[in-house]
Amino acid sequence: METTQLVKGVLDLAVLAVVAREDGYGYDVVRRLREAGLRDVGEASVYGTLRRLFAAGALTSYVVPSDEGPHRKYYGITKEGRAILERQGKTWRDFSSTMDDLLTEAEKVA
Amino acid sequence: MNEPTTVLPEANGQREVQHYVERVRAALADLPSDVVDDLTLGMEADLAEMRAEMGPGAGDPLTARLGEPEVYAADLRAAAGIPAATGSRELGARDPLADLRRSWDRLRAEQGWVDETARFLLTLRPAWWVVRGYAITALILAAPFGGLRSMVPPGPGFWVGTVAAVVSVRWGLRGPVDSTRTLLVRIANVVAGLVVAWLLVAISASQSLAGAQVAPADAGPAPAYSSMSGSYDLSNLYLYDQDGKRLSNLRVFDAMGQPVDQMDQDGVDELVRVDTVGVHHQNVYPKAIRGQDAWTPGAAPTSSPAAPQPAVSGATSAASPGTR
Repeated sequence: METTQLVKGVLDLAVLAVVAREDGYGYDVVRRLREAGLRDVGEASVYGTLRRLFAAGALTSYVVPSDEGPHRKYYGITKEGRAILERQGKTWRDFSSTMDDLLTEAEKVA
Repeated sequence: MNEPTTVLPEANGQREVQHYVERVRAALADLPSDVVDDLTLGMEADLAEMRAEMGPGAGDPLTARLGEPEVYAADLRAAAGIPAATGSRELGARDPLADLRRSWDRLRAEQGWVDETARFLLTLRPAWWVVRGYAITALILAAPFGGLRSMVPPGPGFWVGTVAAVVSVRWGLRGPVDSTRTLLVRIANVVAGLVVAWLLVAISASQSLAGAQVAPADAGPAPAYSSMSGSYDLSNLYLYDQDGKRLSNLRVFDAMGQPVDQMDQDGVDELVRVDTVGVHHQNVYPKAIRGQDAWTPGAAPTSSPAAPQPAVSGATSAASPGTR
């Protein structure tokens, strides 16, 4: 199964989880997702997701000026974002354990 | 918060990053500019960091890693939940500015020299940032501090302008920070552009239309007369002898032997014939005004070829006759 397709469905959740732990700028979020094991995550998708979550009020953003070069845009999670994370996280856990059970049953039969 | 790694990419990588960001922005150009700013703010810093991690590479490593900028832009748009380019156009939300930008991008892509010229002009941006600082200062300070003269060192406008230029350059170097700052910078650019355009027009007008300001018969403003001994305002000269007697038809020279003959002024007659050999001289004072004698308005000019040969300046011998 294509991991890319799976990641697409849960990217919001994954990004919220990463930012909830610590504020981060776009590339930092990409790196942390990859370090966590989501190797196939695309830069553009993460940036777009950050922007969409921001527009939805789940994230806040602020610019950190830099003397050496261009500015960085940081994202942090809002109260609303934490609520979404909790709700969607629960949905994911339920879904994931349902899938686990299904697969375990299948293995037993095999 | 993670400490961002300090990125000081070598010039090549930096240009590569800027080029990539430019192309992504171009691909998003149909969106309102604040959305484009929002989507791409911070991108340059992030890509620079990514590029620095990749180390030197042949060709275009950024594109190899991220895909073509246009594809990247499409992914970005999709993930951000913003309708694709064609979608927004069908909605009738046509942004004429975006259309213009798209045509411009197409022109740059098709005509190499346009692209090259545009790139060259971009390298001149810092110069514009400096000009912008002075121009805005000139606009704000010129009136209270006695006109544009205050902008000439050591006038106060010059020093304030220098500070403004430094601030302007800093803002330019930082690029867009947020939409408010972007808007401010845009307004500043437009205002500064208007000031510069106005100055250019004013300068060329003051040169070609100097005579538009008609000097009153006795005194008043006039274009600056400038000679090797300095510059000053001069519309006409009225000369008296030591007994207070009015003198006419005197040829005037300055200490450098230059004829004092600046004028191309409405109302002041240019040529007065005084020479016995009938040569026209311009440095003859007082000049007749609108065909009338400057001393006694209403009378015909007293100048005539038979008038006595005057000697006013000690330097007359060094002067060459001002002929036309």
